[in-house]
Amino acid sequence: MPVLVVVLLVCSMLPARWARVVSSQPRHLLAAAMAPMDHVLKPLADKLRRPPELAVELGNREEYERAQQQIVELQFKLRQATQLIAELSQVKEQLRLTGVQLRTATVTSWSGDRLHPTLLINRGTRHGVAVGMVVVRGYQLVGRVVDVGPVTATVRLITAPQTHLIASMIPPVVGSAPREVMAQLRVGKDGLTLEADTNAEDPVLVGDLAHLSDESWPVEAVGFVVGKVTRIDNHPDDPLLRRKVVVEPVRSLAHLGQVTLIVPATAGGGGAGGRVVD
Amino acid sequence: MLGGASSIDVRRWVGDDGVMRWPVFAFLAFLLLVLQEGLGTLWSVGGHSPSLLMVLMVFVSLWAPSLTGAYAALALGLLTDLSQPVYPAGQATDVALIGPACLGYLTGAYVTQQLRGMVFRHSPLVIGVMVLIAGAFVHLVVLAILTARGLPWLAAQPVAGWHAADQLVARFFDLLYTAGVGVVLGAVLVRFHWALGFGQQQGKAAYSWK
Repeated sequence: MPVLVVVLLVCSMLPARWARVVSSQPRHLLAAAMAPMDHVLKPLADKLRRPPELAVELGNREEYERAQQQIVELQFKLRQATQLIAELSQVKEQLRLTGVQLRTATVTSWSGDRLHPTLLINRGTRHGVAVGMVVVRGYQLVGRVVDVGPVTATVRLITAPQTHLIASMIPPVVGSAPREVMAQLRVGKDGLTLEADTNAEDPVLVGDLAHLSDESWPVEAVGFVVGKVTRIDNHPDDPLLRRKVVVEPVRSLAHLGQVTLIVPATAGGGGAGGRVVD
Repeated sequence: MLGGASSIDVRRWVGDDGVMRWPVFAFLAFLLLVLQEGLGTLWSVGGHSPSLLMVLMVFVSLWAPSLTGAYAALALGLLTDLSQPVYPAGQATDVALIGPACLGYLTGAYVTQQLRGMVFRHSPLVIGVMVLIAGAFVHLVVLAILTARGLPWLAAQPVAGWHAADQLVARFFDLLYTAGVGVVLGAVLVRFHWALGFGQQQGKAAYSWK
């Protein structure tokens, strides 16, 4: 017994690191043995005796509920921001965007005008936005800034009729058989999709992604996804030799809440307001 | 099969010779630990909870032979140590320190055994009072050991947020609560003391810790 007492005394004085080594196994064993019964008893105890609610003065009840609501909203925003950061980091890494800054903006309105489909964002010259900057949402190319005010900017969507888009259509999965078809895209009749004419023997399949490879666009926009091939039809004018490929944006451009501006390093200091010249 | 000289002495485990029934004790200890931890929110009054294992320790120390009581106290102390980890200062995770409660319970068992000749052990009230007395020693020993950990020698790893005075006050109320629960639980234990094999070994107990 005296030896046991000495051993226990020594154990009591062991540094945490060593004490953990000694007690880890039996502790987990005990916890594992207790777990099934604890799972039954704990809810029972909680049910029989609910935890005391936070004491709130009746006068402050509204304030408390407002604070709770605010917490929920902040949590939601935090989740959104975390998701956006992850998305942008991935985009930046995969597209090897160097020498650019990514700035987020909130979409304040969307104009569905077929000739001039635009978005209004809450960033302007004061935030370093300049005409011609590329706007994206994740991997999806959204459009270009065409008009800038002090605190707002107008973005012309890629589905605008006058947009010049040359895209290469490639399989979305890495490791698929390599194939690439380049084609010029034009806006479809519905104003929401893009169309391209290809030869009948061109290896385009439904599900392929159309990546921007247009040299008239800023270099940082090249590689972003214009849309996904959703349909391949025979060309109405030449059904034997040509195909009509329908490309739809991966994200609905009419329902964007937030977008990202790609700011070239040289334009970081801000730019003058004005209009883009086509 | 049970009567063979070379076979396992089953009588020792079932208590036929007056020795405590260890399997029953183990089951009881486990049951009380589960009730103590699983119903934690139900037990808690003002942040204070009773220690059902301490009541069992006092009960066993009142009834069992000395050495048996000592080992039982060690076992109960070990369960307490394993189920109540501490946070050493500067550590991100908790750790179960084996020792403080073991030694505390051992001291408590010793004190109970020194006093049991003067009390009527069939009374639940006595169990409550003995919990109060033995528990004071248990807590003092635990308190001394955990305070000593903070001294600038040996481990020199104090428990995070440890204030001996605060602990004394908190543990005093824990002890009062345990004593109250001890009267009720003691009544049940006394009623079923035969299940542990007690009551048959009068005059047989080996009163020695050697």
